[in-house]
Amino acid sequence: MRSGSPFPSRLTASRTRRCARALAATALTLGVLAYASVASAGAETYRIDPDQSSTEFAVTNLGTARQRGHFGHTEGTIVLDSEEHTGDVNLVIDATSVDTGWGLRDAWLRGEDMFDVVHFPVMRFNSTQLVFKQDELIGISGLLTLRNVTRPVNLKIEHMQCGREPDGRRETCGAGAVSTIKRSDFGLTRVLGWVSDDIDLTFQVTAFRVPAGDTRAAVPR
Amino acid sequence: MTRTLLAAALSLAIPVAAFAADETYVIDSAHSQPSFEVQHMGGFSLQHGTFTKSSGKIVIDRAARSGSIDVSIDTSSVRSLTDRLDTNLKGEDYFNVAKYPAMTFKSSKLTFDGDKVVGADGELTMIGVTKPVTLKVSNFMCGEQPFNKKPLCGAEVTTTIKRSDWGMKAGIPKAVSDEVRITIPVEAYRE
Repeated sequence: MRSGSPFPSRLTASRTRRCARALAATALTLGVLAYASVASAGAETYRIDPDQSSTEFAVTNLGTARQRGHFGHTEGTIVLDSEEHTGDVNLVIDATSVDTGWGLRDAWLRGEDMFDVVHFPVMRFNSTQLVFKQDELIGISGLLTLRNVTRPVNLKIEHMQCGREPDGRRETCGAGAVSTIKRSDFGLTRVLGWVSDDIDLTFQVTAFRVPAGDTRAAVPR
Repeated sequence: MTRTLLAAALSLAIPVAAFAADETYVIDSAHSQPSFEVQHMGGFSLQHGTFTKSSGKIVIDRAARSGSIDVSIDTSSVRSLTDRLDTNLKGEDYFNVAKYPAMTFKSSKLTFDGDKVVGADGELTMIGVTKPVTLKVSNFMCGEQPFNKKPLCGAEVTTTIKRSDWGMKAGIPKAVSDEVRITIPVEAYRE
């Protein structure tokens, strides 16, 4: 066999190795694909219900009382693979939905001095990394975009519960995530002497699992 | 810097006030909105609501370490995340605002730490039922409001109640928890 080969044995061996390598690479690729499909089968997508979700904020006024408000319209998606400990969280917050229970203050917050909703109608949070402790999601690192300024923020998960609703109809996840940001980092610099620079943010979300084949599951960006 | 000045301005005002006897402070409704938090669906999520209108007076004698609170909350001003939920909250199962347009908190027993108010024992009347409630007060501070220059006291008030004690039992325990966490920022101007 060897004598009949038009190629020196070294080359043949080399080619065999190349072949083997190619085969191995193919097998590996197939393996990764198979693995990926398993992994994605484990990932579940939940859509946030804006009627049961809000982005709350609290500031300290004059060093004493905590004044609170919320953005009533918060939507987005949560993708979670609790086996692989990966996922993706994307929130879109309607800046015009700011509500502090006092119309004059809300009008000022929507105005140019503060959230400037005409120019910046939405705020966004896009996760970059999910942090798990065993199978429990405990934190989310991501990017917050507010008034067109994007800054890294870390969210701490205060509570999270996933499962079937008490009436058994739908798979749901409820979660609360908190973070403290400095509003001056985002250009919100008015009345800094009276109203604290620190803003406590709380994302309270209720999300429902998206059935397979639901095309509205597209991640908002 | 501004913050330091402000804190200095506020703390300077305290010894002056300590010589005075009874001082009456009137609640600034917009800056004193009581909020509440309940667990929804057996703990899947927390849901918040707020009463946007309240009124009342707080009398403090910081030298004698005594005082009183008399506050009324407009129950029809309840606000949550959706109109549908607001309608439920205003209905007979919850605040029944047609029959009980106000809830009140009255106290004649304020507790002090030095000249700072740190708590109040009183009675909350809600849907026609009166029960004792103890409030925890933190961040109590008095001084001159820097914008309008009026004497102001501010504080952060918290308590937790079981709403079933007042007979508000709808949705317990799965839909809405019995336990309600209450948080009230208070800003009140001297009369």
